[in-house]
Amino acid sequence: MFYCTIEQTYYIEIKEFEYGFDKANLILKVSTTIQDVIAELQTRYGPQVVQRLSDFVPSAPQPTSIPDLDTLLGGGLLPGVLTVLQGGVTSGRVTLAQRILAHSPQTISIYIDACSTFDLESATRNGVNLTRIVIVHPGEQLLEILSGLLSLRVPFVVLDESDAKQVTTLPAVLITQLAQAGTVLLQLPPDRQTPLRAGARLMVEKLEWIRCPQSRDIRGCRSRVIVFEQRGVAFGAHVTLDLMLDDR
Amino acid sequence: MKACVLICDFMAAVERRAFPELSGTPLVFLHFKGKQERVFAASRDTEGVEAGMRVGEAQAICPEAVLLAASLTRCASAVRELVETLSIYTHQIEVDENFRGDLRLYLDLGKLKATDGIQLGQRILMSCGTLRLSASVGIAAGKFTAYVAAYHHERLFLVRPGEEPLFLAPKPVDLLPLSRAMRHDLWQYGIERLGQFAALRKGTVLAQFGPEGKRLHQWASGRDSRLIQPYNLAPLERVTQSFEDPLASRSLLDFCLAGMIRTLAQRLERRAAMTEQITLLLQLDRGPLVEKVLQLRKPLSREEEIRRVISRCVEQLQVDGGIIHLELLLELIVPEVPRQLSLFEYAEQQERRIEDDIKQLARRYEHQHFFQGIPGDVQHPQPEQRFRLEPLEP
Repeated sequence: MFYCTIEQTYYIEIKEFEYGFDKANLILKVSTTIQDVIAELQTRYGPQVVQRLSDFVPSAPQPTSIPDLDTLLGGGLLPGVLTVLQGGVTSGRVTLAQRILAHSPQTISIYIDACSTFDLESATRNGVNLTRIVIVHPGEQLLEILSGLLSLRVPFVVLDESDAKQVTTLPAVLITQLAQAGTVLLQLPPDRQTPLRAGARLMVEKLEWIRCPQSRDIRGCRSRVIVFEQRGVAFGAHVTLDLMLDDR
Repeated sequence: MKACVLICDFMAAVERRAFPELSGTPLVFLHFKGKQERVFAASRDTEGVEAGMRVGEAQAICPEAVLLAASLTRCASAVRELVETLSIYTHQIEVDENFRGDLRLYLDLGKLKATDGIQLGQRILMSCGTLRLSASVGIAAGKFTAYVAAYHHERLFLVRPGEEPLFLAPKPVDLLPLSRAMRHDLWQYGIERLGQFAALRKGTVLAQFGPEGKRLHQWASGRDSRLIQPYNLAPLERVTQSFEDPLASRSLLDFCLAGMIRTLAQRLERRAAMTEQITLLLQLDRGPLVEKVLQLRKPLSREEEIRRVISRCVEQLQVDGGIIHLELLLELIVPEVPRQLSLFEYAEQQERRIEDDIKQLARRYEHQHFFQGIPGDVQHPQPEQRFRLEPLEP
């Protein structure tokens, strides 16, 4: 997303160059009104290039159906915003993402499994209805497929890169598309990597394993979800969740 | 001319109409005020029980009284029935909606001749009789005189124009809506009859009681020029169904309800309206009337939505016996507001559209990237046999 400022009466400058514009082309003479400039920009680069801020009205949060988490997040995950679920290995974030996916009210959701590590059995244990999700193995075409899905206005997408070498930073154009589509996009980056342009950041930390009192087998983990960034939520607000392995 | 239709103890009359076994029994109606139950209204035969009393007090005064929950919905629906029935005589009907005591309806009869008044009054009485509500009717030139005529006579009384002062003179002054202070003052002056009050000089009344007193003085003198304030019937949709053989099975009940809901939904669609309140009434063969009022969180208009709500409601009802009469009411009807489709409230068509679009996208990538999880042999010892991924079907 970019924004424009009118520096003088006669010039308009675009601050961010995500579209590969030539700088010479960006200095446009304003003939009469700002509408003319907008019209010219839209003619040159397409109607999406300049949009009103009112087109980006924030939608109501999408409840996760985990009451404590919804309370923490002020209603749920924000549609049209990239939400990053950070955390280390065995922190429980994949389980948490699958729980959210399992309880999402949509009939169809997308799970982009960037590393082909999606475990159908554990997903089923977490309550995911396999008939309601489409698993995407994007390969090299992640951004292209994601763009295609956003253009379809798919309501819920999980981008799981938890085992990838490097996190994918979504280009600004996809973030704009996401805002327009109103999709809930949940990205799970690899450990200790942070993607750019996230609108909301949550950190999942494992506090302890939950064991069966008799057999001492691990039955789940107690994790803390900390808000690093989310609209309307204080930095550092947190909640502790018990993520059991078998939620059926 | 104006007619006053008076129904004494309206709440009790409505309750006795619904439950005939209560006739002749003193009735006390309760409602919750704060956390305590208080008397909302009481029938006249309770003698001394007043609104606002505690339940214990009411029981001490009238031990034989039957305590009931005040059903304002039922009263409102009875008022509606009355207005609908009486609207064949005039559309100018005013309702004095006081459910605690007597209900007064004023009808504007236009320039009716006194000779025709009696005939019309009898018809009005008959109409009230069809609703199984006992009423008295007073006809006079003014509203107050018509009310006094209805109040002081059993069935029907007509006060001819010009005879008002003579008619009103012997009636008690308490019939006027007096304030406590004014009532006290009149009592101190020894004024007990309307005639005595009417005999006071206008200037004296104005000086002593102000403009309000002057207005009441005019009424007591038979000069009441108030106009009828027409009662606006709130839009309502109703479907009823009666059965000769009591309905005893749930499937039959569901079938009947489905038909009724379809009719109501079609009517709503024709009106381009939605409902915010649904009332379900079931008359059982063993007597009791089961009533359930559902206040909806958001207005509904679609057949499936209404059916879902009613089906849930029926599941919660304890129906003990066969049903002989079914009634569905849609109240609080509001215009249908075009609703912005939320991105997360997908209608079936939208859901199908997304599914189709995803399949189309998958086809574009030749099904190399889009998969669906298929459960295999879930008990198989080898994990890879329990579930498998298959390309998304075109």
